[in-house]
Amino acid sequence: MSLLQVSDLQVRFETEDGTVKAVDGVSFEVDAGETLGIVGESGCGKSVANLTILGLTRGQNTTVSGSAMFEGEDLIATDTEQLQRVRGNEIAMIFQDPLSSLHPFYKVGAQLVEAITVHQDIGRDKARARAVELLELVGVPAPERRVDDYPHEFSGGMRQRAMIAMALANDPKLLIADEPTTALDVTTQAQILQLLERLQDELGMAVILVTHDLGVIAETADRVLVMYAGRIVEQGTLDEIFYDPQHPYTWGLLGSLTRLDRPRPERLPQIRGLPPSLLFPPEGCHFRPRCPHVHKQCEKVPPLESRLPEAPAHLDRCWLEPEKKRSLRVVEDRIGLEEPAA
Amino acid sequence: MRRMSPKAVLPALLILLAVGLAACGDDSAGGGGLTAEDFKPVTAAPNDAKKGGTLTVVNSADVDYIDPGAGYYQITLAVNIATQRTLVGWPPDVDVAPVPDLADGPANISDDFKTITFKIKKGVKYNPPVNREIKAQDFKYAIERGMLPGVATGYHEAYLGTISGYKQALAAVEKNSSAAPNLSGITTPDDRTLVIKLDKPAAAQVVQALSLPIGAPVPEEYAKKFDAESPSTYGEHLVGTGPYMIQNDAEGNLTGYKPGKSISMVRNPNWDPSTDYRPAYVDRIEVAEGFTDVNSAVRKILTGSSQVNGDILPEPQGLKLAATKYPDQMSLVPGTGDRYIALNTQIPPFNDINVRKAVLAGFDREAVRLARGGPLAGDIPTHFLWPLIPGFEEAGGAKGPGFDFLASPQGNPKLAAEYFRKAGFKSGKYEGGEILQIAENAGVDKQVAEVARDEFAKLGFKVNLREFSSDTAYTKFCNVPKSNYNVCTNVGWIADFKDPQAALDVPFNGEAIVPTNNSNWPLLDVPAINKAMDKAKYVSDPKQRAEAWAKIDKTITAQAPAVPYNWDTQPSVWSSDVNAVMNLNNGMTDFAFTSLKK
Amino acid sequence: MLRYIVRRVLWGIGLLFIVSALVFLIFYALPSGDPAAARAGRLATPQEIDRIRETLGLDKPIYVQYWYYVRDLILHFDFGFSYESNAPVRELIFDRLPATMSLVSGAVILWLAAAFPVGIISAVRQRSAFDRATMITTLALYSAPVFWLGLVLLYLFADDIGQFPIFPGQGTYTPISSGVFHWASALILPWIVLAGASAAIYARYLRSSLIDVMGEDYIRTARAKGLGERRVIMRHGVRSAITPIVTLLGIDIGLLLAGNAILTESVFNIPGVGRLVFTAIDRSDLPVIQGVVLFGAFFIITFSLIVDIAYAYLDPRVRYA
Repeated sequence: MSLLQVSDLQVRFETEDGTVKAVDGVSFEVDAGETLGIVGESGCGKSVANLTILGLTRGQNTTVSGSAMFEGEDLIATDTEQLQRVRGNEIAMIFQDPLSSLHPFYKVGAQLVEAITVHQDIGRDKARARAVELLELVGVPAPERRVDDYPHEFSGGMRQRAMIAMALANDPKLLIADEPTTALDVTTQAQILQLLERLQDELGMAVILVTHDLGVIAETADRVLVMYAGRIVEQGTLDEIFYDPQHPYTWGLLGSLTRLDRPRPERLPQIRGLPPSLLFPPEGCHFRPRCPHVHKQCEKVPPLESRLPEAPAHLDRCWLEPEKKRSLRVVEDRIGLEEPAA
Repeated sequence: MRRMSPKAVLPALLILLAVGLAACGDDSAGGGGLTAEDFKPVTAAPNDAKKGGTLTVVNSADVDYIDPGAGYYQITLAVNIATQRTLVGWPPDVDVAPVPDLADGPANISDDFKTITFKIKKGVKYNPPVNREIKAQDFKYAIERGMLPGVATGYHEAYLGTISGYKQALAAVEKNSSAAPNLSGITTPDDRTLVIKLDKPAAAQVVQALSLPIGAPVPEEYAKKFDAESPSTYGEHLVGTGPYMIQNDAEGNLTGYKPGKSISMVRNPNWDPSTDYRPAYVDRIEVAEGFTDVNSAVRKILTGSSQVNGDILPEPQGLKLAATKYPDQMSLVPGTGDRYIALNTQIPPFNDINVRKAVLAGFDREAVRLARGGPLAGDIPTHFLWPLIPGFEEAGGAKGPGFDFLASPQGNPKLAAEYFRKAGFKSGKYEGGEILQIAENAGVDKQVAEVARDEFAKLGFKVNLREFSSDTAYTKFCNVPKSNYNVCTNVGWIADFKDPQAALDVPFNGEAIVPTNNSNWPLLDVPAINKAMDKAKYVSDPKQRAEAWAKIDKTITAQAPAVPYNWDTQPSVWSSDVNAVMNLNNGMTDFAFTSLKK
Repeated sequence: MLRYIVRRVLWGIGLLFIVSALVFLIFYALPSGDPAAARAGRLATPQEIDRIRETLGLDKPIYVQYWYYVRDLILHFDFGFSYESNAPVRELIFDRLPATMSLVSGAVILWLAAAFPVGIISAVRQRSAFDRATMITTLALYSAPVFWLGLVLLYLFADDIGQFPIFPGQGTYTPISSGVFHWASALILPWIVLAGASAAIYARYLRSSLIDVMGEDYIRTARAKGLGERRVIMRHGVRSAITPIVTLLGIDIGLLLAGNAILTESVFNIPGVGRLVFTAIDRSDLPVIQGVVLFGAFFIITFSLIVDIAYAYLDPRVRYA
């Protein structure tokens, strides 16, 4: 049985302009110890879906349906108090910008201690010792001293390590990392990803890695979800997504990926246009307005299903024939989304 | 009835209150047909008046100076009546000539009215810490120290300048301003005799002046060191001979005077009632200062207990409230002064007598008086000398001397047009340039100014009304002829005693015009009038004096120098448990005669 | 930090000199009354006025007057004598300060006590009935002129002129030394009036500040940690939201002590600094105006320094050197 099973998750925000369907029927599962990558442009619903699992999008103007079963409990249906016991304890979360995500007025140690004591009934001294231990675990040098520093006294990478330490405080079974490296420079990015991988190995937790960057996914994920405009458009193992991508949007993402093993192309192919407004998404396939291979059938919503008999777990939402896709996706000897004829 | 949702309740309540308060504030048209006649002052305590208790005097400002050598405000005089006995004084019901107080019998005035001899009462002692008996030399010193710049009695030269040796004394002060000069005209043959010699026959006037606080004795040996400082600090160490004293400590430092806050008066242990006409009923008098909102202060007095008003003069709203709801707790003392709108007679357009007459004829003076409180505020004048001043009746009494331009209180547009035509304005309205009107920027004064402005406008004037704080309006504009104002709005005169000279000399004598601190606001300078005044000053026979000044009053009125709109009454209010006694001379409650009912 | 404070204090002293010089200049430049003439009274001769002018030192050139003033101030902490009452200005001010301090301190406590719960609850329950009701009420409160509000309360609740005679009314202030109970009861209405508008402003300010803070990432982090909502709001939200309010509070207290409580003092006849300076301005009493302005400037400078120091403690990111 999987650790987390999300079924038909829908999240809607009522705004003054209308209803925003931020997440529109998303289902996936995460197994213990596994790393699931969720990739997509900003605004595609990947963060909202994960925040919703922890109830962090609950509010007057939010409607949530579907279920998120975690160890036999539906996190969508349960009350806030119960959720508070899960948050930071069994499921922990880290965020994109470690500076704004840490409280500027409290010492890093105090914020760690708070994370520990809220779930564990231990004294302040013990909690502090544990905080130092955690900082050491995530590779913060001189943790005994740094524990009394304020977040602004930490560098960007160190802050994210501190955030991770805070997330690990109570040995979570699942860590949701929402764009954990986006705000960091390239070298630090790699260090953080390695750290996450190492910790996952050591602690045996599952990780959901939410990112807009397929490069990050390539290094860490076991399985990948590609999301677009509130929906999952493709889902498969890392190899399936990278070597046999079925959805034109995935091709676009892959095409824009800077690959270190190849010479830099003359121009980075971009997906033309902008993601659709979630207030008034296009009928049928949401990717339709931006897709160079659009045809009549696209006006109906393609189901998320396997179209490859040899890979029943590789799902996608595109009406095109797999064979046709294989020829269409090759642009200048690599995978990409064909540039529209000018 | 529709229920209000809870969130609407508070704002609704606030609005309701606003409307309610405004409703109390409208129609300020006096007290429904009542006039000053209905509130005649009581001038004697009831036969069964009780001793004891604390009387609270509700005041807005402070006394001008606590030092009797410098104090001059009406409230200051009221405090002094209780604390500083003077050579001659004014019991509540006396309003023509002062009676002996510290003087042992009336002053002996020589036939040429140039020598005044006082005998000093025995057995009158200063309050602690001085404790000694008063003597004639103390009065001499009191008058002499008034000439020091550190004391600077405001009216000194005006009333006492005829004392022999005055010039020499002034010169002495110029040389040494830290010791009182010797005023050679004042001599003390013995401790009980005070002789004042004058250069001119002004004895009656000097005797009257000695009823002011300058006529209170000051012990030289005690006050000297304080007077050596400039300004003098005697006021902080004051002693006196009244039935009350301002609370002090063993060294004489006043502990009961907090400037701008309070004055606490307690019984003077050295006071001997057998030497005094004051009954001094209450044990303690507290002047509580700082009540700047007149209407709520008046309401507080009327609904509270053991309070009287001090310098707070009920304004139309408060007057009406008192007159209609608490008629037994209010009185109006007549004859306290006059009010007029001064027209600058020295510069155009009001240097033309016909323009002035046109203004007086056309002005709706009733509208102006209404802003002051209507009929309760007093009668609308027909000339400048006001009721109860000797000479008033001789000048025509309430009916007046019969000038057509003062005949109609509501204004006579036709007559005004006639005078304007005489002045060369064919339209019957003023056709010239803008006039500068100076006024105060607050309270009733401001309202009066705005009514007056409208009246001027009605007559065709373009008015530039400039409003200032009271102090600025006077010391920078109205009292400074060079400022070239055309109209000074809220002026008027109260006499320091009931004498026609005190009522007319300063405000209308051309020789009294000075570059700063001027009080002749119309800047009236008619040689014939000036001359007549200088002569009438030294007419000492009461009847002749009254007639001489009545004549002067007529000639002043004929000049139409100002728009007289009120012969003042002074309103007083008190709490229901107070037997308030009015002092007709000062116009206020007499604290030494007032008692509490319980 | 110490160097910073020393620098600020020196700058503050310099500022006091500038302020005092400005008051001198303004007093002579604007059409205010002539103190010598006002003091002399209506019957005084020009010679007498001149003598008074001399006594008060008003005949000297303005820079000489200023120099004398500064000299006495520095050497003897002497603020001169009131033209009006001859009383030493220092004594007048020290005599009035306790009343103003009593008024201000009570009002500050009251308005904070009202503004905090209201601001927090309406921020957390945005657009609820409570939020809407309090926002309307606060709008009404801070639109209400102090004078009017004061008179309304007096006519409603003052024990002499009120419809519901509950609290002592005008002129009932006594120092705390003559009984805490009487002191407090006489100040209840003034506290309410003085606190009214500020309570409203602070409630609204706290509300909007807290709404902003509650949208911050670290609030999401706090929730993601599993903290209870109350702790999230109080420890993480309010803690950040109050920092700008501390600045406001420091300046407000400084201004109120400097005489900004004048309207309340007037309505309730509380013998405070505001009323002192009001009368002084009316009477062109420069030494008193000067003294109060200097004290006021002193309070404002002091409180802004306190605010800056407090800021360093409240927000560890702030460092002074």
